Amino acid sequence: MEALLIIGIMIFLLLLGFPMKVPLIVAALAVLLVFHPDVTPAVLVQQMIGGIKPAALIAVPMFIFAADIMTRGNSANRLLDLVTAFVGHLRGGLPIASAISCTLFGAMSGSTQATVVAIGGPLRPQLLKAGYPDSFTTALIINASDIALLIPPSIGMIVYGVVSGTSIGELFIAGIGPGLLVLMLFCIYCWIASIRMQIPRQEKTDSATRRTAARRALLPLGFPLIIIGGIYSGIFSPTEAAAISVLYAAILEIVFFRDLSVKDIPDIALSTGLITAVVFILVGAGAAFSWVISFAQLPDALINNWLGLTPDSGYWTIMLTIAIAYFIGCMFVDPIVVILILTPIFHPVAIAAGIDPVLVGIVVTLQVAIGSATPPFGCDIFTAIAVFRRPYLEVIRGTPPFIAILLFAGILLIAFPSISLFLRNLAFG
Amino acid sequence: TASTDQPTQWRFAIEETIGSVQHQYAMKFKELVEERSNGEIEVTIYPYGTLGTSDQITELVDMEVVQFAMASPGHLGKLIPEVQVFLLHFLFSDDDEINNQVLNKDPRLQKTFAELYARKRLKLLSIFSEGWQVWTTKDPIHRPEDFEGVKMRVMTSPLLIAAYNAYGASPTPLPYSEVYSALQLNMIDGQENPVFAIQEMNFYEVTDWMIFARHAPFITTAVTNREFFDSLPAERQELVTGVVADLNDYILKVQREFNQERLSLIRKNKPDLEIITELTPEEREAFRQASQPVRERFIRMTGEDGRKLLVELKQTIKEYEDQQQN
Amino acid sequence: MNKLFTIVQRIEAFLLAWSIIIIATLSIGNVVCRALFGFSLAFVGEVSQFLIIVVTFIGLSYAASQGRHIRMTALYDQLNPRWRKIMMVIINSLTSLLMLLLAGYAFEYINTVRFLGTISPVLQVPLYLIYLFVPLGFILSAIQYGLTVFRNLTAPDVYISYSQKDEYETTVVGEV
Ligand code: NA
Ligand code: NA
Repeated sequence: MEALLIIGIMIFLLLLGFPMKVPLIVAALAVLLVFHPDVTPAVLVQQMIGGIKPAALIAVPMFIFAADIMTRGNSANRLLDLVTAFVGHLRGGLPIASAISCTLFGAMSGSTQATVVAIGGPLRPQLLKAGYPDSFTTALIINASDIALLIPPSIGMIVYGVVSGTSIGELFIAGIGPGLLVLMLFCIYCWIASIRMQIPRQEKTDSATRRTAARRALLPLGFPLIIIGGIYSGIFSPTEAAAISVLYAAILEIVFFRDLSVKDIPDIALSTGLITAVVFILVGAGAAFSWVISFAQLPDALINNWLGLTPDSGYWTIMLTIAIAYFIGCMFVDPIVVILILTPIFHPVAIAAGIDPVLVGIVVTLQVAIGSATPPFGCDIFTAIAVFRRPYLEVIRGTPPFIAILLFAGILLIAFPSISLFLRNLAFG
Repeated sequence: TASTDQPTQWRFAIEETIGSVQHQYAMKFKELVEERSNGEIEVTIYPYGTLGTSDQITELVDMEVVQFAMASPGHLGKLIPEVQVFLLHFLFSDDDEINNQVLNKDPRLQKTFAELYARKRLKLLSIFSEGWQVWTTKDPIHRPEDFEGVKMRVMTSPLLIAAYNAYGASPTPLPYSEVYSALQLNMIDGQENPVFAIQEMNFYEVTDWMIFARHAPFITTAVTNREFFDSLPAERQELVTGVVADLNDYILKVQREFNQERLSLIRKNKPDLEIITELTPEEREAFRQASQPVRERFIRMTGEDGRKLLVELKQTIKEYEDQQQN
Repeated sequence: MNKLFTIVQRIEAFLLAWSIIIIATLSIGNVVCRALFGFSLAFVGEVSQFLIIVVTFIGLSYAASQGRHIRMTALYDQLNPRWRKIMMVIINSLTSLLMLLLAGYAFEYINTVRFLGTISPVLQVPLYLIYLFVPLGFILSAIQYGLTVFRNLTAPDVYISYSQKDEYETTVVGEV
């Protein structure tokens, strides 16, 4: 009964178009008022505050801040010029360049939205001019931006690490392999698609242009090296890396490139603050919602009675159930909320079954990355609508092939854990 | 008016996961309460991670969302500064049997503690140790000097930070979930926790030494909401106090078995781990001396009440130790 | 009315921006101190936590005033302007009421924290003082949602906030 009430209220209010936080809070509130009248709803406020308190979450606004600084500045363009100069002339060169640029920018930014804006913004006109259809272009941009969530740093991994108690440092490094795998699959698809669409090749750039592009991109490229190097040599923790990335982004854009001045910082910080608030109110509401379902002991009911999932269910059953649950969740709710709600339910089963927590985290991160671009609810979709000013249906029309590729990558990850664990084991021996 | 067909629900929130000493305590509590109430009461246990952090659990007790909970001094110290006395090093007896008696059977101390907890509408049920805090480090530690420059992860508590500063270490606050990787990447050089936690979190895998300095027991307390308790009919109040009294000896036994089992597991999994099972009296004396200024700090933080509590605790421990010898 | 609206918005914007800048500066300072000189600034974590509460709950109201919500518009988009307006009035009045309700619960919670007297471990600040930003944010956003209802009832177009019309360009976005 409680579960039906929760799901009913959630879906109803979501469909009506209420802001995401409202269905979460109202569903939680209704369960308390109807089934547990002895429990004061003040506990929801306690959990909302508690949800945003974990120290590691401070990294989230910092990675957003760094991404905002770079988006306003020139780092993204310099990366783009570099990649286009080297692969632009290949068959499918421009979309391949987009995918690679998204990956590179993703290595500096923890957020898919920032990547949509920073890379998608400047690239989209070029892709359209080259003759790629609008739906393909938009779908490519929003899905390639997902890679940002897999390649460190990653806001999704930070939240997952906080909720599940998994090491964020290990999650970060284990995401690199899957990120590159997805990039490779996308590149192959772009190559095939461009042949089928009969898009003419671009002209090859001369070596002088390439040298200039390489020189200009040198400093932005140092970024991931410093972040990853710093973390895995033990100089700073993964969450401290966020602060370093703000410092690096600011020095790059203000001191070296001089395309921003110190005076621009408060304005950028305001935008960061606004996005942080929008995300964190969801984190808070998600925590309150999640508290109510564990208080009502719904996870046990779900796992034991409905799904019949036990630690002995076997690796594939557990991992596939987890992947499907997160995928379905992300169709309707924000990925962060999905992580907050589903992780306490599924994580203990996976751990009890002896599955590497980092592997579980990576599979979840991939599903959540896919989820940010899957209709009907997808924050990348909404970003694309806002940035490219295209209607909803057109934005999602080209996404199915990409989602199919991402799901295929998900199966590969489950089948071959070393795709993600290889680098982790290398770094942490 | 509790009817027999619909049992009264009591909720018990603990600060540790399933399979911990606290969980064992709560399970036995549940068993005894349900048995002795003839099924009129049903106890639900909420392990760590289901209802919130330690701080939140204490608030939940105050809001009567849960009726019973564990409250360890590291967190409770933010509400009742005096309980941070449990964090002081080299205060307790080396014999955890004596500590158990001092903490749960001495009427004067019971009264003192009951009054402290009552200030925050809490009723103290029992105080018990979950085992000794143990250092795991990259290099052996025998004397305070050995801590020079060692980056020790500690909980964010001013007294713990002060203690490791006093030994010459650099205390580094870090989230619990980051400790393992931080040790692995040499971002920190050591940490302290009871044996069961060291085994559970695999900290021994990424450190080379395990040192039983017996500097402090890892203490926790079981509490209930005072107004809730006072509102219970007399026979239910007796039921609770009776169960809790029986649990005191039970949990000491559980704790010892637990930590022994976990220690042998660690030994088995990592045979080349160097274990210093005890420091010499001289070595401990050096630590004891070095840790004295932290007591001054404690008194500054807690005032006259804290000073009196510290003196009373020291005296009582000494009395029980002397009794034991005679 | 409009003037007060602008002043409140400016204060909120100021708090948001400078909280982020201070968090960044302190975090950078802390990493540099620890990496170069081997000591941690214990207060940094606490101050950042306080400021995150300020950002989240003051930002809640600021986001409402900007019409920035994560919401699913698939069905809403199919409606004609008249029905959109009706939906906007319903959504915003109910959300406004919910915010007021939460403000009430927040005060109840704060009372518990105040009674327990929880203080932050390093700076020894009573936490309930920091938590006062929570009901403040709820009340301010209740006002913002109320103003949106008011604007929709009095002006011809459909508004997603007091000052923002409902257009594709302003539909926004959180991030992951
Ligand atoms: Na990234
Ligand atoms: Na989605």
